[in-house]
Amino acid sequence: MQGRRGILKALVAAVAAAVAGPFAATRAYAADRLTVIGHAVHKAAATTGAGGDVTAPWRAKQGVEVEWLTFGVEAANERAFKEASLAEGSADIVFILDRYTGPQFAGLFEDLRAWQANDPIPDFAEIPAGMLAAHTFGGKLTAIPFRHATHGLHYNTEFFAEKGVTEPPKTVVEAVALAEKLTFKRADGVQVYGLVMNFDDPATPIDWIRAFGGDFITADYKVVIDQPAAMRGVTALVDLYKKGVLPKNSMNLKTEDVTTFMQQGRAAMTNNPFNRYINYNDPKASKYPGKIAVVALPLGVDGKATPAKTSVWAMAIPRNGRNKERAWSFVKLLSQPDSTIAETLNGNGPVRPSAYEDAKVKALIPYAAAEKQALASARLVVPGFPNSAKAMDIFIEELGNAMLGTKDPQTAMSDVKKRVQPLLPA
Amino acid sequence: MRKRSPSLQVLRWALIALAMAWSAIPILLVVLSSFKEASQIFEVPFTLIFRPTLENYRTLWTARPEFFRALGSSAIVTLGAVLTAICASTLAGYVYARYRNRLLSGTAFGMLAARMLPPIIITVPLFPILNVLRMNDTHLLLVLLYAAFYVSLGTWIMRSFVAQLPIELEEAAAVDGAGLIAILGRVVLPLVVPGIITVAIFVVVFAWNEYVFALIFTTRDAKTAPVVIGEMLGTVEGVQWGVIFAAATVQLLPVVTLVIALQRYLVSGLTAGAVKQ
Amino acid sequence: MGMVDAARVLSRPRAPTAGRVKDRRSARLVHYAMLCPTLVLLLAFLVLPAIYVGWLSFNTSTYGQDSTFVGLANYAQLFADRIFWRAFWNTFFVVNGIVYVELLLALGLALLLSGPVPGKAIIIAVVLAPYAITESSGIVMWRYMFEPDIGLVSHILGGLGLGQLDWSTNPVETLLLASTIAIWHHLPFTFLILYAALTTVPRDVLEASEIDGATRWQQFRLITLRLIMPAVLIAVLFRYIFAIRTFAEVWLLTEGGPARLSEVLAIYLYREMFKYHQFGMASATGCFMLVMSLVIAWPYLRRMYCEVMRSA
Repeated sequence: MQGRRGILKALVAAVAAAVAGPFAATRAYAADRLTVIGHAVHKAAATTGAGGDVTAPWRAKQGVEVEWLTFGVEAANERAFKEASLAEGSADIVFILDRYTGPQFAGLFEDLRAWQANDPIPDFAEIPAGMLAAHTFGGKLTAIPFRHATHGLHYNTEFFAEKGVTEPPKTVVEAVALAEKLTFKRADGVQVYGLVMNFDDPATPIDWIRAFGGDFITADYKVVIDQPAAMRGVTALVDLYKKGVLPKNSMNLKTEDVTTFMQQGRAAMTNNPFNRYINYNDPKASKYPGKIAVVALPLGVDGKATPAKTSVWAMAIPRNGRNKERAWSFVKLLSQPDSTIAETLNGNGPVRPSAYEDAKVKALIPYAAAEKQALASARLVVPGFPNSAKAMDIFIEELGNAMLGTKDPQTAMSDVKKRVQPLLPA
Repeated sequence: MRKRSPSLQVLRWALIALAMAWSAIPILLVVLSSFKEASQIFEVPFTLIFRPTLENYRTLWTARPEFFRALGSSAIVTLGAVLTAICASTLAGYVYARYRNRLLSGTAFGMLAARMLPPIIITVPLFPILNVLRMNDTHLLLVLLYAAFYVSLGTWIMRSFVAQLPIELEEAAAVDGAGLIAILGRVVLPLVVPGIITVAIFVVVFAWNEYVFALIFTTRDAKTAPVVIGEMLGTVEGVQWGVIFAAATVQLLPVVTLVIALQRYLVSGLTAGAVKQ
Repeated sequence: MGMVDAARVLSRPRAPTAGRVKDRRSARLVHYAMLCPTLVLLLAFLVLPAIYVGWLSFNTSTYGQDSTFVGLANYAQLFADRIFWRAFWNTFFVVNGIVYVELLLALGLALLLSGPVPGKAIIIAVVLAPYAITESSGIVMWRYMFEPDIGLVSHILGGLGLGQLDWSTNPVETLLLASTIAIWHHLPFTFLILYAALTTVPRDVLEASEIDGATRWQQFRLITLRLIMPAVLIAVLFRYIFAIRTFAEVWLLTEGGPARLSEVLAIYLYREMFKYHQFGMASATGCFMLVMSLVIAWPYLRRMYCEVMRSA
């Protein structure tokens, strides 16, 4: 018993020391640090890869360290809002994704128009208006775009070749027909689906609805999902599902599941962000490395480019930050044209179209031209408004009803309109 | 001891084997998958025979070193939470077992009611308050939080174990001149060891794997292993399942080892004494 | 006071005073002080925030805005929501299914393993393993095993001609699979409580009854069950408390879909809190879940109260 008591005492002492130690040096605001809250990709884009460390010269000149606090996608946004809501925050810069922000949070962040006027980012006009609009509410610019993820059409060239198709589909009607053609059983008995989509994000079905000339909510906040153009798209999707072109469990597929489908060769096509190209062709994880190509989405029924879904990560400066001049200086640094190119080489999706023209970028990223093309006509999933998250959930729910067959598509979409209408800004 | 018929014995062992298979198979799959190459993990059809590789563990070591630091944080927090919860629960459990009045009953049942609110919603008021107290991202906070979550259950478990003990033991010790501390430490404590071990196992498993509160209240210094695993799941560039399963396997080992080590203390002190006699 | 003395005290013919409190004993200040660590922890981290949450349920609140009092509006919105009621019924059936099935399985397992069993340490470690593994990894594996057509179990079921478990589109089957996973994950919890309780059943009492000619079933029903009843009640009560919060099992399977048909209350709360950032609504949902737990657990609380009072 004595020996055990001794061990117990030692344990308690060790734990008390360990616990008290960090507690003593608590997270007080440190004047020698710039604290950034974001996702690991942002840190990687700014510091590691073929483009080098973009922040090094800035850090040397300012004499401060940059502390990157990284989280998962949802967690990063949550933490950003939490910190920004405190009386006194400890974050100087936060990265926000467009789908999590909204006009109701505009008050948490600095209006960057003033900062831009005083101390402008060079070549600011190059940043697409659509991306800026994603983070602008009531005229107030809450964040500077940093990274985009835009949808392209990925397809398995080996399956295409097997079925005698040499080129990716040019129009959406072609794409739908092709998807049917490419639903077959492989030689080893595994079912291949012509098209696979993830339904955890309304973006993937909305791409197709837009290709048919329809939309969910227009930029001036009108619900048009029940209109004939959109219904064409919805019925096309429901048909594909009924025919087994889309997998039976489509409605609970997430992005990672789609990645697995493509890597295992269980699907021929998908519309997902361009940079998934790297995952789909990863020799370690994929059974079809180098065989999956990506192009811009097929043209719409009106012959024009289909607006691909894009999401925009942007840098915001919380109002409760304590050194906003330094924060803006860092934002400027990361937004400069040469920094953007370096970040692209580090794996980022650049918000400046000119980055795609850089020789090194073209060499490193095979789909650079296609992505640039898609970027030109890209659009957000829904315009920003306070209840946008709820509206998107309602759309996915009713689309699920339509696909399951519990409601016919027109009724389902009319219900969407009925339920979403009261949620829109007046 | 009543002789058990052989057919019943066979049935018994069959059921035990079934229980073990049911418990173990998904876990074995996780562990096996951690030794598979990325392309084989979710492949079709599922293969049991494959060429094992340590690639995932290597990647975990090189690309995600913060995981191992996080394991250290998890260890500190778990240890602290267990010690705190056991001390608080045993003391309170003793009082509830030996004394009865309206105030005590009220608090005992109040403890249960307090646990019925889903914990996640209390992060709303806690986050700003703890931030003001500068307790965010400290090990101490998680220790106290996790202990707070399990003192209800711990107290009730210890209460039922102490209530099992005949009061004569304590009375005899008191007659011999032992004070409260001596009674607790030398009479009660050795005989309620299975209760303490039970509570300890619950708190260890909970604190070691707890995700939501660790995610919300830690940033860097006190980040625990489940948070790092969560980040690996929430990545933008594609989830590396092999590495995640490797991390899950590494995380599993200490708890399983601990349980094997603690298992023999689950035998009651009373029966141990009777056997010796 | 050693083991030998304890054994001697215990071998005296035992009057049914185990746990009885002498009427003259009343709690002194030092005893209330012993309660302090537990009560302070609970108050600081659970009770006071819970009171705030209760107040918040009568407000609208989101990031960066002061809360606005709205009276019962949140509750009105909650009860008018068809999806909320679906989540409620889903939760109700899932919770009751989980608690009782798990209780039976855990009791059976604890009985199987009570008494001398070779290799018990390993067996118990294996039985406890599902509780020890990170929840998300375990659920992902179950999901993969049941993946339509290609999963291990799906393959076997298909081979046996039993068809597939259509959990990705049929909400009933989703919840069935989620409940199974929840039981798999938490069975060790219930098992451990019951197993530890079984070790306290004195063997001499059982042996004496055997000599008196009691059958095994009578032994169980009249002696064992009665002695471990407090532990059973605790296990059931806490399993209810944890079961109502079932989140990850359903979320990682279908996120409550398709069409929010398999949603449970914990997911409903999660959406309000983390997707819509409506803390008032989330608080209202949380308070409802608290009341629901109290109502469902009421018979057990009463029974526990009687047990506690009886041994006085």
